[in-house]
Formats: sequence, C-alpha cells, structure tokens
Amino acid sequence: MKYCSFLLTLLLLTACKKDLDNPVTDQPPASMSQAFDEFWNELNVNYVYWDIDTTNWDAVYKQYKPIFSGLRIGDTADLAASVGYFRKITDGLTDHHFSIAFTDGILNDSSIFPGEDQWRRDPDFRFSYSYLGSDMHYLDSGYQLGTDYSTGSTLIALSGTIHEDILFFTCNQFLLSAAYQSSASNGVKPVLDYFFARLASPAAFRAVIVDLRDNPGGDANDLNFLVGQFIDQPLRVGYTRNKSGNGRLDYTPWVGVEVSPQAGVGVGTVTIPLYILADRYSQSMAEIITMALRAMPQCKVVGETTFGATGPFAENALYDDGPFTLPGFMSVTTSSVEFKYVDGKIYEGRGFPPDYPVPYNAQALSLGYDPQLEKVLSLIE
Amino acid sequence: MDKKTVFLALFFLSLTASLFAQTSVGVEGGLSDNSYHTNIANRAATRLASKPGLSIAVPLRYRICPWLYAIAVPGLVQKSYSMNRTDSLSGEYDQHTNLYLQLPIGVGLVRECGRLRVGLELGVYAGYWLSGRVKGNTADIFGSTGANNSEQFQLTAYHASYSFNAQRDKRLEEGWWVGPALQYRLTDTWALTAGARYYGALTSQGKAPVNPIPAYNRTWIFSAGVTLSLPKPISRK
Repeated sequence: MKYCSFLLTLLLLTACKKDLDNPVTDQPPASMSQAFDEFWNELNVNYVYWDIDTTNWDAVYKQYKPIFSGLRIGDTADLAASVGYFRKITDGLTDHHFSIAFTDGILNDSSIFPGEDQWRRDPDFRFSYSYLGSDMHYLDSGYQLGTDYSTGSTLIALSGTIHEDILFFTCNQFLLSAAYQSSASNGVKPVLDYFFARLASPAAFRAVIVDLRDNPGGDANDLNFLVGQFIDQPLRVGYTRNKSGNGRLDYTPWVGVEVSPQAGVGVGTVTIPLYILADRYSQSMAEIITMALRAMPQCKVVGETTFGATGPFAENALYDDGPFTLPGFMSVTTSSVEFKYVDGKIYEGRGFPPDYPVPYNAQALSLGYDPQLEKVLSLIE
Repeated sequence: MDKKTVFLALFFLSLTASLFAQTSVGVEGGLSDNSYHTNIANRAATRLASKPGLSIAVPLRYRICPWLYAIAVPGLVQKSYSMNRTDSLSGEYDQHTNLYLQLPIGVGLVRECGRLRVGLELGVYAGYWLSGRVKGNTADIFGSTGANNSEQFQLTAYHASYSFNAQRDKRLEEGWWVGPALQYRLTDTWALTAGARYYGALTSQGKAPVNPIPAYNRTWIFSAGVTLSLPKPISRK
C-alpha cells in the first residue's frame, strides 16, 4: 500500500503537462487575426534590436489584436486598412533595415519602410543626390571610371587623383568583391586595380579620400575586401551578436569583428590622412565601412550623419533570426545581427555622426561646388 | 480541523518518529545529464542536445521509522544543454553551462537486505541559478569565403559568462524529483551510498512574456558517496 501511495504521487507530479506549443508557424494566414499573431510572434523571435528598441511589443499585442480580429482577410478595404495598422505598429522600430513588402495579390504594391518614413518626417529631409558627376569635376584628368552589370545591378566605381597628390575613390554601392572576383571581365576591376596599386604606395600621396555618400550598401564581404587594403594587421571595428533562442532577449555573447588585411606581402598600413565623405544616404555597408575606416587613428569623417542601418542581414536560416515571411501575405526584411561599434555604442536607428558636419547644399552643387569635398580639401591643406 | 488539533497531531507524530529516529549526514558527488525541454520547431536545421555536468551534495537523512526516512540533499549541480545547427550549418552551436544551488527535500522508502539498503526517494526541490557560461560558434556575417561568390561563412567562436537579465531570466527553479538509492553499511556508522535522481523542473527558465515558449530543465544526477550515522537522540520514552 505504501509503495502504491508513492507511485500515485509520482504519477500526479509527472501529469503536470506543460504547454509547449510553438506560436511561430510557417503557414499562410487564414485570417487577419492569424496574420497579426504570426507577424507579432515572428518579429518577437527574429528581431535583433529588442534590447534597445523603445517599442512596447507587449502593449502592441494588447492594442492591435482586437483590431485585427475585426478585419476580414478577403475584404479589400480591410486588407488596405491592415497596411495602415502594420505601419503604425512598426513606425518606431530602431532597425533601419526593417521593411515589409506585401505579397498578397491585392496588396502587392504596398510596402512599409519605417526608417525611411522617420527620415521623411525629419525637418532636414531631402532626396538623394548622386555625387559621381561632381566628383569627376574635381578629379585630375586620367581618372578611372568603370561599370559592372554582371551582378544584376549597375555597379559604378571611380578612382583618380585631386591636385595630383590626393588619392580618391568612390562607388555607388558595395558589390566590389563580387565584381573583382567575377570571371567575367568588367569595368570595375581596372578601377580597383588602379586604386589598390596606388594605395599600396601611399608615400606618393598627401591623403586619401573615400566618398561613400549616396551609397545604399551591399555585400558584407566588401568590409574585408575594401578596408583590408588599408591595413597590415587585423583591425577591430566592432562587435556583433545574434539571437540564440526563441526569447525576445535571447542573445549570443558579443563577438569581435576584425577586418583582415588584404594587401600584398610587404605592404604596410596606410598612415597618411584618410577622409571619408558620408551623408544621410550612406546606408548599411556604406555606414559600416565608414565606421570601420574611422577606427583607424588618422581617419576623419566629413559630411552628414549616416542613415542608421548598421546591422547586416542574411537569410533567416543562417542565424535563425532576421528576415522572415508570412507565406502569401508579407515578406519582412530585418537585421540578422546587432552591430556595436568599437567605441561600445550602437548607432542603429540614429546614424554615425561626422567629425566635421557639413550640410548638403543643393544650390552650391548646382554651381559645381561641393562644400563637403571642399571641406576635406581645406583640412588636407 | 483547528490549529490545536493539527499541533497535537504533529506533536504525537514527532514523539513516535523519535523512537526510530536516526540522523545521517553524507557527502556525494557525481555526474549530471541535463536536457532543455522546449519547442524549437520554428528553428531551421537546429537540434537540442543534452550535455553532461558535475554535481556535489551533502545529503541529510532522518529516519522516521524502519521503512521511511526524510531526506534533504543541498548541493550544487551543473545543468547544461546545447543547441546545435545541423546539415550545411553544422559547426554552429550555442552551449550553455548553468550552475544551480539546489535544495531537494523528500522522503525515502527503504528495505534492508543484510548490509544493503535499497530505497526509493522522491520529493520536491527548489534551485537558484547561480551563474552560467555560454560557449559556441556563430557565422561571421562579414566572412563569407566561398569560391565563385558562393556563401560559405567562416565561424567565430565565443566563450563568455552568461549575463543575467531580470526581464528574461527566471533564476528560481522549482520542481519534483525521484530516484532509486542504495546504501551499503560498512560499519554501524559508516556506509557507502549510490543513487540516481531525476529532477523535473515545473518552472520555466525564461520569464513570460519575453519568452513565448517555456523551457524546462530535465536533469539526471548519478552520484556516489559516503554517509555517517550520527548518534541516536536520547529517547523520550
């Protein structure tokens, strides 16, 4: 009898069943309520900036769950209304890579980009400006300009000298490594060869200028590929961490990001003054490369604060976080890793500030005068 | 039943118990094997794995009658687990080694066979998550080295102390335990002990709502040690 009592107690204890349902599904939502639930849960798990984000995600659920429960997924007006609600829900997110592209047939033209919306509300808002023409105006004759279409988009690279003794480089996006390693011949390779060859003999120059304005970023491999040309020792530029579990605040420890030297044997670290031109349209890899070069002691940044999208992203499977989809309804882009600069600060959502702020001046540019580049030239003089 | 009745019942029970009471204290060490019981169905190419650890405890037994004793086993135990990526992501992992201060209390049924005592123990426990270490490999997002622009990420290793977060971590753990126990009497006072105990947490290691899916430690501890019987208290008879 006494043994039976023990076994009965044991049975009662083990009968304490836990609810281990996983709310993150990969099913096409059958209702607006389900779409909201899946979006809320997916972002809860996959978003990497919850530790610094000011959005109260639990309050969002309480406020919007009843609203979405009242919407019908087959109703065009309700679908349109849901875009407005999703826009409000995500409006304050810190991650400036965050965007929603709706894949539902009716909402195919709709998208949400909170970082861009925040910028549009900024009193200093302006549209982007391509500095390529202006830069060429400043370069000595004999500069190198090349394009590459092999990666599916137009990559333009430009390098040359100013006053014969200032080395200059710019590109319109970061696909440099892919273009350089491409088996197809393209116009970007000679530009990079020109720039790297001169960078390897920096004594011939007074300074180097890298113009990363109006550059939306691109391939993460370009961090090592480009910045690695400036160094002969590994350069610590920051830290990354990704999500490690299904909790909102589950993270791996911070791991160091070090740029590996790429230059040939015998080439030393570039020690001559280095200036980066950056603006509000320096985004993603353009910001990270700006920050990485700024980690070199002789580097200064001139121009505007960058966009604030510093957390790179990859496929969700790589870290089990970052971008995700609600099949047939929406595709969400968001950072896969959180990036912290070597100074210990996270610049996501607020941008990397310049050492020498010089505002955009459309009128001056229309007259062939670039105040930001002129500032760099005055600093070199 | 009023308070007086309860008090009297407990008083007479303690008098009866003291007739047979014999207290023993011991020390035991061993290996733990912990698994992390949660749902990771949403995580691609990921598998949870149990990990071994160490344990040390000071068991205290108070014999109530020839076949029943009360037991408390304060001690330290490592509860580890690993989340491993599989397939093309093999090599990425995230291993947690957590140290708990634990106090299991319970009762044991015992049957004597000569010098050997065979028992079954069970009870409840409370634990406190003292510290943790996290070790793993993660992909370097800036370090894809595949040929022909294919993505083959280099791995970056980490090994660091776990940073507690009051919003996320539930450091107090409660649950139940059960397991067989063996005692071999060397002398009237000394005995060798061995046993296995299974601990099932009833509280999640993560707090809601930031952890939408609960996660529970499930731990086996296999231990061996020695125990010393203390002199019997003076009989009240």
